Amino acid sequence: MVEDYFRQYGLITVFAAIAMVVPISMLLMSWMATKIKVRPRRPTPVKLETYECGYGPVGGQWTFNARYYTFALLFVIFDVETVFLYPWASEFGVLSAQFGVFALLEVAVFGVILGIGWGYAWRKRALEWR
Amino acid sequence: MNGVEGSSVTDVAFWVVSAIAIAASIMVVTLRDIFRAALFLALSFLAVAGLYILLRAEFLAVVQILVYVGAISILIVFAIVLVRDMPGGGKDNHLKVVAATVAALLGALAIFVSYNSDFTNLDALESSNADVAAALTGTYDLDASNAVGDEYEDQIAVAPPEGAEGTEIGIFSNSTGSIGGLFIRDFVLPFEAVSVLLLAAMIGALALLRQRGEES
Amino acid sequence: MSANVNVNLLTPEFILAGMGLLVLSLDLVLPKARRGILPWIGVAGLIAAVATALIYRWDRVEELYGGVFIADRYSLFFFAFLVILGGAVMIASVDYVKQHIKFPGEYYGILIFSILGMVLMASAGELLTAYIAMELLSFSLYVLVALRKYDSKSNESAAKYILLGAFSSAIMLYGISMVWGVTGTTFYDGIAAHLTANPDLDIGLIVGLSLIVAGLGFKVAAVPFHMWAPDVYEGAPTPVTAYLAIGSKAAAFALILRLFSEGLLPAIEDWRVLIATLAAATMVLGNLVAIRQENIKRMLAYSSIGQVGYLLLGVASLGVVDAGGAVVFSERASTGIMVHLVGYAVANLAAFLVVAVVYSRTGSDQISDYRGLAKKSPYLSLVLSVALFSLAGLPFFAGFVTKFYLFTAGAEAGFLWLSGLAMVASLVSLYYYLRVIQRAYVDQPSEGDEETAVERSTFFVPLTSWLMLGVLFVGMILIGVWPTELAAAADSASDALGTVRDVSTALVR
Repeated sequence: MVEDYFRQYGLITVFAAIAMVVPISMLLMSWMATKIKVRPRRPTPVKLETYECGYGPVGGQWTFNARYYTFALLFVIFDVETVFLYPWASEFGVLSAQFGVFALLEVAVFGVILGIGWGYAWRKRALEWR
Repeated sequence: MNGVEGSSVTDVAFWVVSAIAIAASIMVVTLRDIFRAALFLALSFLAVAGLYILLRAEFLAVVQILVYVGAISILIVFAIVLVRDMPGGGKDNHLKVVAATVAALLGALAIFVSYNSDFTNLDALESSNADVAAALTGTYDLDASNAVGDEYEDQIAVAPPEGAEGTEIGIFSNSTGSIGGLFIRDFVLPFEAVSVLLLAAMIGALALLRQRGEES
Repeated sequence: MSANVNVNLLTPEFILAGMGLLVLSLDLVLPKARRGILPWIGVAGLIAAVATALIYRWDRVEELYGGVFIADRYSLFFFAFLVILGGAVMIASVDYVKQHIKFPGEYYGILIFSILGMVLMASAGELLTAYIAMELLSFSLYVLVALRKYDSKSNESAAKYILLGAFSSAIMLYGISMVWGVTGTTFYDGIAAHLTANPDLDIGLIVGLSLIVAGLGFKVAAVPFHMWAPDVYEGAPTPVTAYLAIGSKAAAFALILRLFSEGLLPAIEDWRVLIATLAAATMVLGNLVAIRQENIKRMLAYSSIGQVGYLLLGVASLGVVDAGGAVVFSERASTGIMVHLVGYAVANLAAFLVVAVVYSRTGSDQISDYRGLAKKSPYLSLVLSVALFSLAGLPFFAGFVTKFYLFTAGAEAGFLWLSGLAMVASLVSLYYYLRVIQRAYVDQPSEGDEETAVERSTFFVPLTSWLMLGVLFVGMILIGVWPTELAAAADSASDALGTVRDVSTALVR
């Protein structure tokens, strides 16, 4: 079983390795193509624009709306909630056989308490984009 | 990693992942560009998730990726973008040497302790052929006939669900499930307390983030 | 199995959580003008929770969930004490919140959640649960400290508090993991069983316990982990400062007392000197630095650091080794700690409430601005003087009796030098308390002096604060002249701590 466990993660490792090797080798090949003069390199100002066939960028630095941060924080909190629900959900079949309705009730309470937080966010207009 | 016998592959994996984690952490504290430092922080989180997998703590690994790599890193990046573009980074300060010394001493202490300490509990569980996953995530193992499991067996009967006869089902045969079982059996109270804690954190964050004139 | 657990026993906690949720939800639906009612709903809920707890748990001794939650006299004592304390802080903040804080619903709701965290800390019988409860308290406090968000001092103190709080929590969590690694349990009784079976401490256990002590030291602001306290206390909204100085400390000591007497007592020989050293450093440094403070909140912050030193003296004397080499739990010490916590809470809350009222009239926290307080408001200055005398430990006030309990317990446990040092420190504290009283009563403006902020402003004490101060005033005198009831309650709570409930099952974990 132990072997099986690591074999599965070995597969994931192989996947990750392929995912990394492919783009790296593409960059490498393009670089080598330049070196051996297969790919010409003649930069012009037009070519180097951010959006080559679009509008030229106007203005200075892009200002970042602070509201993104609100959403990010809410996301983190509900993310952590998921973390607590996940082990319960993955074993729910066994747990409900053993503990009956309590298995559902406990998590319902958990959800209701966080639901109040969600209601708060809604009511205080934290979820609106202005 | 000495608990895993005959798996030199995992040993190699351990060293590779550890090297990535350490290198990324060093980059985090030495890089001038705070944005790149944040990206390396994410990489170091990812490597730590790899270490959890090698320790057979799958659930922790998932949490690490979900919360730290997924959410916290995003939050850090947002905070950096929000504040200001600062490619030059901060200036050195005179506490650099002190901080490095303290960190080195603490690291040495941690290594010293983990070599000299007698983690009897872990050894006993490993040697008794128990499911190490349960041991390493701090949970009980009900199937295996080790001391810890035996004492608990009569207290918590493991009833296989209907239609599953013939197969021996232990509810705590994997670490994720065993944590779910703990949430519902022994640690109901802290589990619910966590929801209140998250609620307080959420309300506090929203109250503090609301902009002037939006209070109602 | 969960179904067998007597969940009804948790009714008081459910009431607390429900009240917090109710206050928060009401804030969402009530029109703005009607939100003044929120604190009173909260207070009514707290009273209901205390009443339920007293009726329901009076003679119950039970462990829920295999010892995660312990219901006994000790839990009950701290439940009543901490909830009443939280309620008092709630009433004391009514005027302040109306004037300075824009989020009444959030303020009171989170305050109630923090009370829930405090009572769970007192009744947790296991490190992780205690940790979660402590985090519940800490998170709530982070928010409360920051709630005056357009005040840059409040922001600064909140940032410091969050960073150091998170740091200390991480340290403590690391310690807990090491303790678990060595003992295989996070339950207090299991740790005690392990310590009894293995008298020679493992290096991992030593480091783990040290880290836990360091983490808790941050939470109670013991020297050398005290640096955050004065800054945070100064910047936080004044009622929250009072709550930080009293509530969070009382709850942390509730946790410490149970952890040390039920979990770590068998190894007392190994930690008593460490704790005694911390106590000595804390009381000396806190009281000496307080002398130099010009801001009254900073002064009270350092004085409360000094008080932590006295309380740690009690922790160090929690057990004595008898002739046969066995460790005997000293009920006197734990009674002393509990009694002193109550006396300290009453006096400190009164002092901070006066500071809050003065601030809301004058906008100043400087001690020099207190000149003329006796003329402007004899009532405020009387209560302030009594509170400061009580903190110093003068006879007839609460502080004297409670310090007497504590210091005799220390002397009995063999810490005569520490008790002597504590008495000297108390004398030093009298000096800087007297400076404030002198400023309020004696100092006269001389030629060319500017008017102080107190002299410039018109004074009236809002009714809520007036009544609250009256109650605290009576409390200080009452504990000072007639402490027997309080001592009896603390005694029976100590009894519960001393009783070994069921170690045989604990060994298993």
